[in-house]
Amino acid sequence: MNISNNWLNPGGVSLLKTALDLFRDRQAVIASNVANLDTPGYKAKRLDFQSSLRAAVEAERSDGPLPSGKLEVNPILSEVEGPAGPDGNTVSLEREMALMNKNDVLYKSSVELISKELDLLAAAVSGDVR
Amino acid sequence: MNFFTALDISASGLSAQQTRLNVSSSNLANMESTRSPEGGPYKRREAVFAATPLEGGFGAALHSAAADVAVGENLAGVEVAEIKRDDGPGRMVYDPGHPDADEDGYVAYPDINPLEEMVNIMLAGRSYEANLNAATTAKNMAQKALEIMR
Amino acid sequence: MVDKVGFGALRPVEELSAAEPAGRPTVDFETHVQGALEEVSGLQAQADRAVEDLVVDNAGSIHEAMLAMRQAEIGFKLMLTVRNKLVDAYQEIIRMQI
Repeated sequence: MNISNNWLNPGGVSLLKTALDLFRDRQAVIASNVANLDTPGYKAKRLDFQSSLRAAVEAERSDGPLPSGKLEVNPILSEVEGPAGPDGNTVSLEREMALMNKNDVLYKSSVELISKELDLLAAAVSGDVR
Repeated sequence: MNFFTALDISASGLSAQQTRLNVSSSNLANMESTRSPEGGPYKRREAVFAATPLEGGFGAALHSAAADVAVGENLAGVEVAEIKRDDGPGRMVYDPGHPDADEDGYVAYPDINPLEEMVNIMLAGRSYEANLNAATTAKNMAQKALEIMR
Repeated sequence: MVDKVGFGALRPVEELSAAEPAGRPTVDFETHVQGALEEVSGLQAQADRAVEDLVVDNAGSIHEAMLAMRQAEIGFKLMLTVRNKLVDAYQEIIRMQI
């Protein structure tokens, strides 16, 4: 018996599930940059997934989500080359803080949205509105 | 990978900055110390930071998906790789009455610039706070995820 | 139409109507219910695994465990709703005057 729980993972839910993973990973990348703020020669890292996520959304329209209910994305981890400080470090604390706040808001709104999507499913199932 | 990874990374940053702060405080406190366990005046110390790839404690946190592991392997915490001792000659001050004066009347004091140490302490504090900020954000994000069940 | 009750049959509208033509294999009602029950228990197994990952290995994500639980809950509620409807239908038939 294959578990065809696609009805539990409609477009919005599978996208948000994937996005939650990516935002969480990005938090770790930013934490890593901040921790290495004073490490000589350390290059700041960026987790890029916008184009990959876009392609995954397109692919889902034809193939549906993965068995896990997520989309297949391959985030790219790139290094920031410059401008580097005298010790070769390319982390800018201000930039990292701005990115972190943005990422935080994105994660939190994704949580809100996915809760709402699931509330709708739950309402459809039980027939009453909470 | 999960939020524990981010928290572990931030924790490594916190403890590294803490060490740096301690080293600078110790330098500042020992500006006038003419004796030390290793002989001669106190020697100025400096914490050297190095990025450490996620492993050991972090290893368990690396998760199944291939892309996830690739990202995890490239993330780094930080550690104090060594505490370098400045073995320079020190600052010679003419003070024939001092018990540690040499035959010419000069006393070797540690070669420490208090201004430099103060700046170092301030920067360590700033970086410490940034790491704390990152850890708090990761914690808040994890807490937000609990609301999915509400 | 009674064989539509299975959870697997809850597909988008256009897909349902497209799948309608005569060649559609007829699956008996029991198989459908059986499949639906297995699906719900599969969801719960998935949720259990997510919880294990999180609590035992400290590896899984919090949102992952939460979502798996939530979805298992919704699946279970759907099963309950369907069961209640079935019981209602059964009782209605029992009460039927012949």
